Amino acid sequence: MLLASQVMLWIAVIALALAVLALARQVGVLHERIAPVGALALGRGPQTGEAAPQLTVRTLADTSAEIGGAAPGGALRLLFFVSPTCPICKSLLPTVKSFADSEALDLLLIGDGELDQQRQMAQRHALPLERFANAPEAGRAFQVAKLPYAVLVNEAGIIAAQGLVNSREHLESLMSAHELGLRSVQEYLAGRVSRSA
Amino acid sequence: MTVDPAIALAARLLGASVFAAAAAGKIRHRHELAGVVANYRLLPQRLATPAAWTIVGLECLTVLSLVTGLRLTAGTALAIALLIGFALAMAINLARGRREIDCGCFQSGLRQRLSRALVARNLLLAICLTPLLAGVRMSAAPLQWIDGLGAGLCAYALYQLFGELVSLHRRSAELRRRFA
Repeated sequence: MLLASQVMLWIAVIALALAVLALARQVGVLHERIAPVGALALGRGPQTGEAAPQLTVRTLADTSAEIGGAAPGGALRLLFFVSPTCPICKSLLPTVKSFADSEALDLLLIGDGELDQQRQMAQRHALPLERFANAPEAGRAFQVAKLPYAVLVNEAGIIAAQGLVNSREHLESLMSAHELGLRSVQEYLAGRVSRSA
Repeated sequence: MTVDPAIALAARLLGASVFAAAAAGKIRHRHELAGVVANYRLLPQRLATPAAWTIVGLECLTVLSLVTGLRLTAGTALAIALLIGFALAMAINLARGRREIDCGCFQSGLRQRLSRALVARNLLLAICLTPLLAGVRMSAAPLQWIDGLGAGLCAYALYQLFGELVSLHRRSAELRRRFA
């Protein structure tokens, strides 16, 4: 009797200790995840700090829109490269809209794909058609290899920040990079590592 | 004088698992090991690799002795010497202000830096092992086996938890600084 109860007690105590240990590890994992995240610059095409390629594209509303070039007195411009076939682009669209609103950015969505599908996508997410261009040539000019890709262009037409984005944090990192004068999250992390070494 | 077999069993299990985990971690990270030892800057550079492997060898010997009960007093003395040695090495580097180096504990994926808490942990472990120095009666009743093994396992889980909490504490402090 005593033996059995003792065994059960120890099993309970050890299980509890292991549970607390597992919880502590999980908190550690969470800490790891909230390490600074940022848009990943891919290191090809026009680089941050260089002039953005200048082109004129047709929007879905059949108006024309300018990419690149100086726009004195204008807002920061956010180019967001998407495709109807990219699921994460769709899930990110509402975030991009609210992000552009809250930061007062001039948002231009640039698609690459079937015109009809893009119209459907624009309607589903209530995106203004005149701010949505189907322009594969723009993707080629910026050498966008992975989607969703965001480029922040300042009023002088210079690329202020750019990178592969997957979340609101990534988008916000573009603004922070612009404000801090850093080119990418890689540059930020490199600076952090060399400071702590 | 001999200690209660339950206490002896618990201490042996705790010591054996701590040193087994330490040796396994060091062997798993064998490529970084010499660098970690060299970072402590207590030995000439060329002695770092032999020293690292000596430590691993001594740790394996301790585990053997604690598990089998062979030459238990000597094995325990070696374990305590290792623990105090590590604590001293950490304390010296803390006194030099080199708290950013890796402790070489290799107990989690995270790099663990030196801290006073780790020094205290080593000394506490050494104290937990001291009863074994007094000589151990090998025969244990079933109830003593259960208590000894249970307490030993539990103490090992708490030891791991302590390490985890120390690194969590440091990370929250870092976060607070970043968002301050």
